[in-house]
Amino acid sequence: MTEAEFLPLFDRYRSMVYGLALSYTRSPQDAEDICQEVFLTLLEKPPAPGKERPWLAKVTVNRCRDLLASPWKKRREEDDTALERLSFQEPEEAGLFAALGELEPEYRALLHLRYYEGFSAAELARQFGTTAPALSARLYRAKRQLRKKLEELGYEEAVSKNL
Amino acid sequence: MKKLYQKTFEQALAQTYAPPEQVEAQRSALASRCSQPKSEVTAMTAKPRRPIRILITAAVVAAALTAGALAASGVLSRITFHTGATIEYGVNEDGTEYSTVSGTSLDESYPVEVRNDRAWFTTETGEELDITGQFSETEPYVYSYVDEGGLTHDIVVGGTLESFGLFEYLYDEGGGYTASTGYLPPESPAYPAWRAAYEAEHGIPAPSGGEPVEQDSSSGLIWLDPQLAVEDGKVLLTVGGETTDITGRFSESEAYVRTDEGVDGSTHVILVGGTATEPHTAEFVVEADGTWTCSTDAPEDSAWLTSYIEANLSR
Repeated sequence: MTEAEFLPLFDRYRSMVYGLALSYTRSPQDAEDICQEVFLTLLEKPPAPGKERPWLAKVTVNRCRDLLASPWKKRREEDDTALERLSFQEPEEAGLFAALGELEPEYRALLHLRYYEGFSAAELARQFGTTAPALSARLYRAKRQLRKKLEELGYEEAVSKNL
Repeated sequence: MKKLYQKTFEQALAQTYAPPEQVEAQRSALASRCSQPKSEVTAMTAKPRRPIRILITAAVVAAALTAGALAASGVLSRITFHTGATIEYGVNEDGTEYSTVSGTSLDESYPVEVRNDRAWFTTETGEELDITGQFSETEPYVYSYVDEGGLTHDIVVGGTLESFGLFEYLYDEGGGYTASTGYLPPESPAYPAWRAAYEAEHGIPAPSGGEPVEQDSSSGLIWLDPQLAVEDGKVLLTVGGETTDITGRFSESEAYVRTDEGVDGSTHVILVGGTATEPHTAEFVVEADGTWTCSTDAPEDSAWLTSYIEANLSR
């Protein structure tokens, strides 16, 4: 891959890769590491032109899974509290962020790709090798779990307004 | 939901995203590698292992790849399982064949989910079937369908409501077994009775030696996770913090072999094979009774790997 091909992709998708990795791992440092790995993989084995966005999303999720499953993963102590120091404008935003932290990583990734990155259910189904109805069912379960966590944390209003 | 999520995450990103100078430094460093030869890019990339799943691929597939004319490089075929995994078979630029598994399902036990003490199976059309009571530790539940490409998928579920596993078997249009992938809970043996029952009924051969599987670390196995790096023409192997130059000590037909003790006292055999620019590792954990499990990033038909297994680990 030439520099002329690579740099626009880096500029356009770095924040997507980082954001997805952050939502999955809940660790800014791990998300940065994943970012580096993903773009190195892009250099080594680029996808077909025009397929970069879903490809990057899929590779990012795969790398996150590998990282969290690795027995040699060392959690840096500061990352345990890094996200606790974040501040939000509205209480329900803080509640949502906390509730997301209680979900399974795969559900977090799914919600992030759907509601932040704007992937359609059909696109996500193609990416992850399943059917759109099955993907929709999974999304439904993710939202249901999120609702439950928000209620447990005392954010019933956020639930009633948004879920 | 979307608006709240976007507002929330934008604030999280703004507070955690790397500063511009750090992003620019990364951008420049990556861009400088765009013109590097492939081997040097490889040196800077940690060799990823396959996704953590139990995996068996049929030997017949590897045999099929070596037969016939493989005139051009590239992907020969890609099979997507209902569980979400994908097996891709292809040919590298240097003519060597590869198979990789990737893209495991977002939900590890998909398409089975236990809710309110009922087991639900999601079909390829998205329909949910209540399969509670239809499988056990000795008798599997089998769901079968034919995909658009004519492949038959048998999804086999067995175990208990609290601890179940599932395997998906693919058959070609002639009914020939093609490949399989599956998931077993950490406490399960590699061949539970329900799985053995299904495979015996369908004539799927058991492996001749031990079973080359990759297992989730939650199974209790603690891998040494050897790392390879190719730098300035040298091949460096790092195990447990110790780095060894193994340049010239392996090939595509013969592995470099070393034995280490795991943190739990188990015996780990680490192999390296392949080419000097594209080496691969395999790590075996060998039990006292001779059974073994393997984790590797090598293509299934790697001669150095299969010859080692046949010579040292067959029953």
